[in-house]
Amino acid sequence: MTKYVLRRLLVSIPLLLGITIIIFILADAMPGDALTAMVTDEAPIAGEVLAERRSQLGLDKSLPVRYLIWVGQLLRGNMGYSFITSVPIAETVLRRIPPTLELMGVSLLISIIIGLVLGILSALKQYSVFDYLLTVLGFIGLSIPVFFLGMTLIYIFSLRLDWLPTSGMGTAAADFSLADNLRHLILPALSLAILRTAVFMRYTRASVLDVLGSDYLRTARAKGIKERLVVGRHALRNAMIPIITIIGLNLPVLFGGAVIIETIFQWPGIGLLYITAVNQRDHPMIMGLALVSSIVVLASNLLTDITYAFADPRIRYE
Amino acid sequence: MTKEQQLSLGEVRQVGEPMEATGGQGLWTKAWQRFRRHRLAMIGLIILVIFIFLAIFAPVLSPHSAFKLDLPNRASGPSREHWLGTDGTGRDIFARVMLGGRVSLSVGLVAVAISTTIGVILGGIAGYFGGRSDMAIMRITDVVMTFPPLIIIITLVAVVGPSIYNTMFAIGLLSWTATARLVRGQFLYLRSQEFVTAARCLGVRDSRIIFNHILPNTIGPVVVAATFGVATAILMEAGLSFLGLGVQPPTPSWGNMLRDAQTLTILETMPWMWVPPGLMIVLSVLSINFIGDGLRDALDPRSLL
Repeated sequence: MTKYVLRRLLVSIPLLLGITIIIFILADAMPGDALTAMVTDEAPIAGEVLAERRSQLGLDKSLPVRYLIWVGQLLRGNMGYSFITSVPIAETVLRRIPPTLELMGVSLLISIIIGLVLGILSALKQYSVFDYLLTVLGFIGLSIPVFFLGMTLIYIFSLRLDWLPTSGMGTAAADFSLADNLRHLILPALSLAILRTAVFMRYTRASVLDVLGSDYLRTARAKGIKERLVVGRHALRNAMIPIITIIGLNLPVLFGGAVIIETIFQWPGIGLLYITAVNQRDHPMIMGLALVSSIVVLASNLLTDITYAFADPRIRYE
Repeated sequence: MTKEQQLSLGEVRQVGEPMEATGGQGLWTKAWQRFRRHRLAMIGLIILVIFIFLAIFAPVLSPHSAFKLDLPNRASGPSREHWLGTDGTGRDIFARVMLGGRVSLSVGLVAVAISTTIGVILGGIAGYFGGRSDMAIMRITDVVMTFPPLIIIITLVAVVGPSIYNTMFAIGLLSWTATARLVRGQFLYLRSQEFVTAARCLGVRDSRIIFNHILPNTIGPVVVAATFGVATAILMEAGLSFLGLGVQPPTPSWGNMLRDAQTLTILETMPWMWVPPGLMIVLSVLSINFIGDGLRDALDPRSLL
């Protein structure tokens, strides 16, 4: 088991390296650099001064050298400074991660629980009205763009019914209270959760159906084991294995959804930070955020693989 | 024996002459018949065909242009004059929704064409030749899969600038991993089958094996994956345009029409501006998903036996 974990960790390192290279190349391709952000029309600076400053900062070195300098700094925890606010990026990112984690975590939890339960029930009662209804609902859930869902939910619950607030993480100028935070969390988390629930429901249903037709279940029934135990002890356990993979694979998509939802609901997380950075051409911020989100995805993939190895002993010997 | 009888006795086929399948039904006819039985898929197909029709004939369907400003009538609701009302600058919403369909559908198709091509090529090489090329391609696939797609696409667009073509390329460049994995899996499986071993023993060239034997068996799952890919691509384009990083106004896209409705006032009091494009996205993606599901059942290799 430890060997498997170590192997996976080892494989992740070149992956991480590849990611940093791609991010660096992309960011470098963007027009402008650290100095163009500081030069405005009101404060024109002579070309030679700019060139000298560039070589002072090491901006005229070649791509591989600059890349290595960047990585070196990253390993020391220095992500640079934002072009716009001049605040160290690491600080800003750390401050904005908890809201996004809260949003993603809650919606993931809701969608896993509801999706799994509905998927299992749907598979057990295959071809019933219940199953058919859920299948169609599942399809619809898959087909709604997350921003349209968000807007519709705001329309119904905030504007028409006035039950829930339209944006933000808490009521402005009020002290933090958990109830207030949760009230603000409901709509954004629900928008993300509904879509993910549809995905998980369909995959769970497919996986359980797949397992239900297995020979070993037929053997178990032939032995006289109660159906309840056949399903609970044998079928579900084996059906859960691919589900773990699916959950893991869905994490990058959750990040994308979070970007859109945070924009609509003005949720102060890293998604909103990213969009603002892109619009303001804040290169270091863009690089830092792309890196952070990729690392989070990498870490969760690793976690998923390890959990998978726990659940399915066959994997450990590959 | 008469000549006729001789002929019936002698009805031995020449070696190498192709035999007719019973009833003259090929693979695709059978698949189509099974597809037809799938109710939801047929509904999806009908809706999609309607949408494609609307998209192609968009300019002539409405008396108004999608670009002309009608300022005196701006931000007004559905009326005789403007069937779905007007947006903030007086453009006819119905015409814009129709034209937006063109944008969304074409982006979906082109992006999927790109991603399927890349996926089939890379997956095929990895699956057929194995060894180091397989490992290298799988590493690349892993790296691309780890990136949150929207984040990378947003970054790409920030580099090259937002436009409809860049959107197509960006989505296509990031969506090929599922197809590649699929094709690789199929190639690995088929390569170990006996008929391939036999072909290689006979000295058949690699390229011939791939094109005449392995690829035809891979088409089924690839078509299904491509269909679902179109749905995903349409959703991604809508998302990008919604964030302002996709199709730029004044060209209408269902996504950027929703972007224009981002104020609370419009949201509450002028639903005609955002509900129609949103519903169109849902309906088109839904019908494509239904079709994909139907195709998957129809082309399921297990039921072709």
